[in-house]
Amino acid sequence: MKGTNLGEFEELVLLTVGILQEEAYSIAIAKEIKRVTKRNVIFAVVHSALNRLEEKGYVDSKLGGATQERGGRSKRIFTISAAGKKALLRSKTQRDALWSLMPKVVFKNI
Amino acid sequence: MKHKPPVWADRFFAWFCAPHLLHDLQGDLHERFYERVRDYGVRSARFQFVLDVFSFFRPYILRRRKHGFSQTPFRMLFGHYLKSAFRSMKRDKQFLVVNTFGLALGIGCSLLLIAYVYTELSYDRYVDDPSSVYRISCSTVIDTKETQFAPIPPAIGLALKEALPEIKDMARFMTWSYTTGNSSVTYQDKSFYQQNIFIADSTIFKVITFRFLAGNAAALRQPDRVVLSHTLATKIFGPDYLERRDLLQTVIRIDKQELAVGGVVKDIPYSSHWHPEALVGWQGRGNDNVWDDSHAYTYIRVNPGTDPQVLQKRITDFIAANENIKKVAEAFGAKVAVFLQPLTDIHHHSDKMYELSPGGSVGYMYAFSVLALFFLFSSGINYTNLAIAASAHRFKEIGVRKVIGALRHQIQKQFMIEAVLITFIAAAIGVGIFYLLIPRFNTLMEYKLDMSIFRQREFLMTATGVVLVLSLLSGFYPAFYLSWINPIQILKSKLSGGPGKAHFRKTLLMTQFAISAIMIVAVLVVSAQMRYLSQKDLGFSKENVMIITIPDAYMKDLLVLKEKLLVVTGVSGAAVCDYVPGYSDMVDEHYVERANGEMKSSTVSRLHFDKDYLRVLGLEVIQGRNFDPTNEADYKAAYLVNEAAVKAYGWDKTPQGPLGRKIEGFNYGKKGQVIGVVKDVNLFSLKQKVAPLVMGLTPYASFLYVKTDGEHPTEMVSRIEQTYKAVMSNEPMTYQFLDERLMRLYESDQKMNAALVSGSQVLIFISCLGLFGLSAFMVTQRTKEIGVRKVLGASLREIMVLLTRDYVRLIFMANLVAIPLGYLLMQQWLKSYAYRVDLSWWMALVPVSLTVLLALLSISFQVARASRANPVRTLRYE
Repeated sequence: MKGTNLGEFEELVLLTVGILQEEAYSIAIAKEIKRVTKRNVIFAVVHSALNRLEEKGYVDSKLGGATQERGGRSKRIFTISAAGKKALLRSKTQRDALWSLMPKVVFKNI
Repeated sequence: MKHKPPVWADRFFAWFCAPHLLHDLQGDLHERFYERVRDYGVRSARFQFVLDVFSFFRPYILRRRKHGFSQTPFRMLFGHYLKSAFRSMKRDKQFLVVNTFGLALGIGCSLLLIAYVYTELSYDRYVDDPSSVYRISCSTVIDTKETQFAPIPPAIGLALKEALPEIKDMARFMTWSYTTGNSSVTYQDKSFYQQNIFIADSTIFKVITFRFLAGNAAALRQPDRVVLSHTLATKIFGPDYLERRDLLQTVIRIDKQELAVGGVVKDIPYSSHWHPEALVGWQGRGNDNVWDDSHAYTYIRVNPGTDPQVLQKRITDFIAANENIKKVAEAFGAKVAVFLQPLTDIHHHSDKMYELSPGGSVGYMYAFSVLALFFLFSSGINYTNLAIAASAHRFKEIGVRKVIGALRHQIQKQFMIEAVLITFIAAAIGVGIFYLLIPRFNTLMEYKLDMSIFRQREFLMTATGVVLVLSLLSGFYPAFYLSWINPIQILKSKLSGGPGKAHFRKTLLMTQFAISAIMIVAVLVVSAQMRYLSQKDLGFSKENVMIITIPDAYMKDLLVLKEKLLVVTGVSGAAVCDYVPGYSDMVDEHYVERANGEMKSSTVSRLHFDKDYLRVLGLEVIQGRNFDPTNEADYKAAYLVNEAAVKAYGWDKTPQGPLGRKIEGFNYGKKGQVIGVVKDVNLFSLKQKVAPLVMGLTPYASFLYVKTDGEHPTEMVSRIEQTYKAVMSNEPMTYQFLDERLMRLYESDQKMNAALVSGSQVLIFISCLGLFGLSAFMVTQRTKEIGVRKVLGASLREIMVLLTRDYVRLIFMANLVAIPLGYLLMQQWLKSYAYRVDLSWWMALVPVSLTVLLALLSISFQVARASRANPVRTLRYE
């Protein structure tokens, strides 16, 4: 297994996989990220993030249904694994901890 | 799903993608493609598909080759070649810098020229299925003199459409404003002049492709609607016009006519021969029954599978049988022909009367392609020469490689890879240079290139192809040469002299300098001709004449303005005329009495002006008299002609002479007599000899010529402008100067000149760069020789001469070949002018001395350093 830390983009992807549930395949994920974050995500980058996540064991994948638009090729549906959930939680707890330490003054003038 | 993603990209992806990922990734790519076809159209989807494919070029996706005997050594060697290429580049930094920079400059400049040629070639191809669109134009032959017109009489298009089923759609359009092309556009408190407003059949949208941003093609079926271009709409309503809910009801005024916005279309691409800014419906404005006046630009779209030759035959037959056309032909005493012209030919092959835009010159395209080749050639030569020279340092490397078993083709491959690598690095820098040069190129050539051209697939492929070929060609000789070397000799003797076969390199160098010399000759001749044109005495005074354009709507105020201007300090005269050099040529049919008294029709240039025109321009009446405005008959029945006309019609050979000869203007319907002869002058372009000219009297015309004393021009203009505004209720004044206007007649040649000057500068620079690099190597190779000579008592000067003599001789020889060639070439070009400079001896002297001087400069730096070096140091270890 590669390093177990979760990159910022990876976290986004992982969260989106969680959100989309059974619909989580690469195109849907890329679109959802674009819709929510307004970032211009390059499709290949999403795929490479998914690939890394799978190598780290944070997502599992299986082949899903095929459509005519795909030339009869099936989709690879990703699901978040137990390790993935843990990693997400860990990252959230870390951030919450940091947020709780943030002095309110910092945001006063925004 | 009738569209498919680009097959090559799909295959490419399948080739590099690892098998276990291929299935679902390809599915994703295709799904995205069809989504984009739906949202953005096929073109964009295909382009995005290719981008997507390339963005997948990531390590984890790349197919892992199976390990096998044939594959592994290749991969290993390939990596090894790259490594050694990088190492040798690092070692020879001077070689790298000089070479890459030379190549980059060559590639950047030639890309620019290729982009120009590409744009020229893509003219009018934005239209859907351009090959099925034709323009119908016509010609008249009178007395064996043929005149071709771009527009035709409006009735012909209509009749052809009804008669011939091959014609799927027919559309006509004509200019809204005849006289100046300028019309006032008014909306609320905004008002400005606009060109390119047309009256068009509503079928125009079926023939020429427009993309509607608002409204639809039905707009032109109503007479009170106008379709605007995006640019004009932005100019009138501001950038957010599409958000106006009432856009399609908004009323604007064009030349005081009220028109509602019926639609907005995307701007037609730059590479189009027609650029309408506004289209107004034909109904009620155009006249469908005119058979004898060519003013309707007529375009057709034919049914698929129509053979143009068959259609042309049918058109010719139809025209021959048509009663109306027979009548017109009889009246003119002319043969009338109507012919098809493919849409995509118009830009390059059109020099007809009343073209919509000046055509592109095929000559330029050739000239620029040749120039692009010169650039590539010159930088390629640099590479070859330097690579061979630099190889002296690498003999040992090659020797060792060969001894441990490298085969010839492997060494060749190694050097080819190096060449490709350097060329592609140079190409990347070249694109940067391209980007930097665009603005300068656009100003020089009055063109509109931008980086978006790289988004055009064909261009991108051409460019990549050119770079690849360049790298292969320039790497070929070094690779071939170096692989040939006998390793034993190299390793045995301490081979320090340069490679033996020097004459190949010398030939290349000579070619390079010959190209530079040809360019210098071209520059000299073109600029001499330009200078000649601007200084030539045209026979009339062109200095300090300001020409004010009078808008149609203010024509009635013209005489008041003229009176008022005459009392402005510094104004010495004012005259009215309907012609400005460089606008449309003024040609018309006239009946002219011949020497034997017969009236025959004839196509001649014509002008209309008032009595002051001759005086303001300093023209002389050499026989008879000038117009007299107090004589009512002069308006209706008087003509002046020039000497050329007198000669052309044979009047000078009869005792009766030109005075009193009858002339009948066709369009203007004026029957009159010649009252005077004006001295021949070049009112039109110097490309033609003075042609017969017929002049009539008019009180009103679109241009007011104002002669000033030429002192304090800026204040002069503002004084005139004040007067103008006072008379024309604050309208903005449009004006130009006669001498500038005249020079614009040679605009395309001036552009050529500018391009040549910059092009030759870069070319010479590249050649010198190569020579600079080459001499550096030569000097290092001969360091010891120089040392020995110095020890034996050679003077500094002798050594300098020794080292440069060869090069100077080479460059002389290059000039010897190049100058006659350049002369021949330029003589051809000069033939396009009826009045031209003579080629003189100094035009040969300049390139010789210039090239020799520059070459000496670029080598002397290295040579001087070497000849000054202390021999003790260079010979110490011997």
